[in-house]
Formats: sequence, structure tokens, C-alpha cells
Amino acid sequence: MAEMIDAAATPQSLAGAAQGQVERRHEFDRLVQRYHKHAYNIAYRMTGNHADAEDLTQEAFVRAFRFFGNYRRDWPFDNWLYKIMSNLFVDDLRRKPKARLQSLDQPLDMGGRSDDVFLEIPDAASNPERMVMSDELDEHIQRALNSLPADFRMTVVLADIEGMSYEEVSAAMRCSLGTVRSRLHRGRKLLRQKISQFQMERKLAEAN
Amino acid sequence: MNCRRTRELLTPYSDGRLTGVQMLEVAQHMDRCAGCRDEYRVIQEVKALLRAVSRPQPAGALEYEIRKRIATEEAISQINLCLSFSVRPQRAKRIATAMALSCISVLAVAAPFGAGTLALTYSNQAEKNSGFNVARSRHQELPPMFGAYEGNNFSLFAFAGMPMTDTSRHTSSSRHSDVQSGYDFMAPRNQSYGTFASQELTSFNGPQLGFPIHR
Repeated sequence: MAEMIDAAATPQSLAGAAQGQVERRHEFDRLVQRYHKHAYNIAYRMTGNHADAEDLTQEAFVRAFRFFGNYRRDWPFDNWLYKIMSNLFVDDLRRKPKARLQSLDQPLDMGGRSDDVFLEIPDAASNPERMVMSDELDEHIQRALNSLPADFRMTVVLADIEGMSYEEVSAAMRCSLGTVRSRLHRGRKLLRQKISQFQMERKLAEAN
Repeated sequence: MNCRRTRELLTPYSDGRLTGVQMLEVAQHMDRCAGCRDEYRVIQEVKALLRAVSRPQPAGALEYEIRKRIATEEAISQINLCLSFSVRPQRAKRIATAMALSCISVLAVAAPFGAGTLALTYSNQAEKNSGFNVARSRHQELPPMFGAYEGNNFSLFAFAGMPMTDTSRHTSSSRHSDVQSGYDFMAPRNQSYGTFASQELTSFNGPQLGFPIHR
């Protein structure tokens, strides 16, 4: 197949540009190798399933590669990647007309009942590192995460699962520290309610 | 400090995000308030649960899939690089699409082996048997672009498996029927015709130096 091209490039300019691309590609390949599992984990917790998590991870890396020229090298790459991932995820949800999007960045009315809801979980505070989680509880947590609005879910995932600082979450999610704090506050409360609810439902189902 | 204020601060308290004075006030309040202590315990439990969730492993092919898509993305950006040297806009998109399709398979094959492609530098020495200088490969990993130029006129004659014709300079190229991964390049103005062959993407062990020229 022959096509017309008016190539006015000098050989040097093309070769130089090509060399730059190769170096960029090498650097990026190393980053993919290093971060793809971590990114997948976050994506999994965000999307709640394997297929969507893989898609989101791939899309985030492709987007990162496309804008790699804008990446500020004094920023940790993973934070930058998670920022892209967060944008992708939240934007994608916004595009889906049926997605339930609610803003919870306002005071939450727990109806005075919240204090009565407690989790039935092992005494994690005594030795959190050694806590062994059952598959069932893991599933309840994922379901509870799925029920959170995307912004809240991402905040909780980054802060509490990935252990990022408020500052890192704030940068990754382009929101203020105060917003991070309030989303964590209410996100955790909502999680607590949902997990308790799922456990309760499970118990009732077993009793029946 | 009352319960309402304490509960507002429990999240930053649990994350160690309060000033020393505030930490102390919250702790003192909890010493005498069972309700707030319970509230705090639940926050800690939720945090502990989240810390302890499983780390599902991606499928083994995920890294490969990512790199394959990056290779495609890179091919497209290479095309844009070439096209940025002025192609008629209405044709640019069509060319880019066609070239991207041809690039994908080539680069995807390369991806799992370290994503190498051929290197290119351009020789300033005229080839013996042709009236134009040709692209030479010297390094292992550079995008596969093949060019020829006469004086200051540069013609890109093949790009990642896509031969091209430059009508403004009356040069054209095509895949050579006999030479594997080779190209024929024709520049009628100086009555030159060359066939260029390289082991494109087949070997990462050594650089491919030069292209055999046949009259």
C-alpha cells in the first residue's frame, strides 16, 4: 500500500526524536513492571471485579504513557498513576447514565442510629497485622466498598488499603485535605454500616 | 470537649492528624465517655479490616497486555511524529490509522522480549550503487523507520512495515517480494533503484549494520 507523504524532516531530527522515544519507553516499561500489580490491586478494590480491574489498570497505564511528558519527576510515579486511575474511574462512572452518583461531601445524617451499629469482627486493635480475614468477610468488605460513591471509595482505598497519607490522597484526588478527612470520616462510617448489614443478613439467612 | 466535637475529630485522631493539644483533649474525653470510646473502636476496626483485605493477584498476562497497549500507543505517537513533518491534514488520519494497524502486530511481537525495535541512524555517505543515501541501523532499539535522502530532500520510504510513496519527490517504495522484511525504493530522478533488507525485529542479539543494496 502506497501513501503520499511529504516528509520534510531532516534525518537528524527524526533520529533524535526516535532516540528520545526509546529512552522514554524503557523508563516506562520499568515502571509498568514495578507498579502494575499494585495498580491492579487498587483497581480491583475500586471496580470490585477482575475484568474491570484489568481494564482500568491498562487504561491508566496507557493514559500515563500518553502524558508521560507531563509527568513531574519529583512526584512519586505511583501517586501520579493513581491520580490518572481515579480520574478515569470517576469519569467513567459519570458517563454511565445509570450509575448512581450522590454527593456525600455534605454533612451526613446518621439518623441517630449510627451509634448502635457495631461490627462483629475479631479484635483487630489488639494485633491488626496478624488478623486473618475470612473470604466471606473479604467479600462483605468489597460489597461495602462497591456501595460507596466513587470519590469516597477511592479515598478509602488509597488511604486505608494502600496506606497513603492525607497529602498523597489529596494530590491524587485533586481535593483539599479537609475533603480527604471528611470523605474518610463518612466513608468509614458507611462501610461500617454496610459490613454490619451484610453480616446481619448472612446471619438471618443462616438462621432460616 | 463535648461528644459532638470529639466525634468530628475521631477520624483525624485515629490517623494521627491532630495537634498534640487536640489529641490530648480527645483522649481525655474518651477516658470518661464510653460512647465515644466505642465510636473510636469501630473506626479502628474498620481501618484494621481494610488493612487486612486480600491482595488479589492480576492474571499473569496483565503486564504483557499493558506493554502491548503501550507499544500500540507508541506506534501511534511515532506516526504522529512522522506526520508532524507535514502531511496533508485530510490524509493524515487515514494514513495514521492504516499505519497503526500495521504497527500493532510488529510491535506487539517485540513487546515481551524487551520491546526492542531496530535502530536508525542516517548515513551521510552515499551508497555506492545508488544515487541516494539510505537509513542505516546501528543500535538495537529504535523505532523501525527507513528513509532515504538526496541532498536536503528526505524521503521516508517505510515505517514499521508500511511502505510509502512520496509523490512530490517522485520516489516510491514497496515491500520486496523476495527479501524478507525488505523494501524496494525507487528514485527515478537519478535513475536509482535499491532494495533494502534487514532482519527487522527478528534479532535482539546484535545490531544490523546497513542494508544490502542491489541494483
